[in-house]
Amino acid sequence: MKNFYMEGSDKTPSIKLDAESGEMEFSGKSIPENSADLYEPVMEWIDNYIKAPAENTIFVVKLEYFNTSSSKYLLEIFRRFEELFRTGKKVAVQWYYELEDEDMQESGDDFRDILKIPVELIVY
Amino acid sequence: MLQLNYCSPFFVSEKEKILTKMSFIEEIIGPNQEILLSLAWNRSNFLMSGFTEMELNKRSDKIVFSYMGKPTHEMIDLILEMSETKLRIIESNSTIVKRIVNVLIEILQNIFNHGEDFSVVDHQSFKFFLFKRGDDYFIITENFIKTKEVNNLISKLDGYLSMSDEDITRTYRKTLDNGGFSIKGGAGLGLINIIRKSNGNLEYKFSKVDKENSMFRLGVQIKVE
Repeated sequence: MKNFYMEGSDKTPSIKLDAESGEMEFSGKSIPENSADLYEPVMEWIDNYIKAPAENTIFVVKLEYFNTSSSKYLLEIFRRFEELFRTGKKVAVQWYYELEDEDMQESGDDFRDILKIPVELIVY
Repeated sequence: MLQLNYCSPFFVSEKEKILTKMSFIEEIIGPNQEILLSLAWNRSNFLMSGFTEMELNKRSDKIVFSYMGKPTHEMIDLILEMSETKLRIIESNSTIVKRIVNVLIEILQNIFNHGEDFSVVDHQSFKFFLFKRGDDYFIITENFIKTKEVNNLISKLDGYLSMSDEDITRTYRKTLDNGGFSIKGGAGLGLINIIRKSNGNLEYKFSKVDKENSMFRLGVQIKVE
């Protein structure tokens, strides 16, 4: 399975999805008007990954900003990983936020509250 | 303090010119100087009435950025970019800058997704103000919406505004969890987020323009503790 890489822009995140190591990362900004264009290919990749996943999946989120429609896609991606988690695979989300960025910390708390996979909040 | 007023029609093609001008100005006066930039056809055309507290006081409030015209995608990007640039110069608290930009993203994208078809309305179809009063920041927007959607929006806004902080967080999480997918955001998640980030310091007003269209005016205060 090919890895998925996408360069970031002023409105879209840098995306790295590594099928072999199970390491994945979103960083930068995710504020596109049309999140479907950005995230549908990512969802498709993840659906394929889930069929033959790595032993450990680590999903790193280092976002500066994200909009409401991106948050819905983020949740949908995490839901896919919940399915993996239920089958006994190791899955963890690492949610990074800048020191004193209460809002991004709060967003991490939101996902931790909603999800059944471990969500670790990390200051950087 | 330097104040610039562009009281002529502003087009997206002028973006480069203005950004160049801004960096030129910053080069001359230094990045820590306060720059007040107002981009509007004519500031006196802004109708600032009907709100209790969230009124622009032209004498004492400091305008960070203002715009009146059609809200194209390019224009919204420019408002976000320039507001953030200005905020980073005048506000040292980066948490506040990020919070304001976050609220701006929600408000502006919400207007674009739910507002009236802007291609058929005139140059005054959208008004935007970001200003500072004391330590606090205020965002005021005006845009058209369909009159038939007004009651639904009022009941949503009033419902969310009557909630405690804990309830609004619970509602946000529940809506995110169950809201499903919608290109337009849907389910009011953007609105809930705006209310949450502003701690409920929000005012709104609807004015009927004609049978089909109404003006929606939104004021949000971001308090700096």
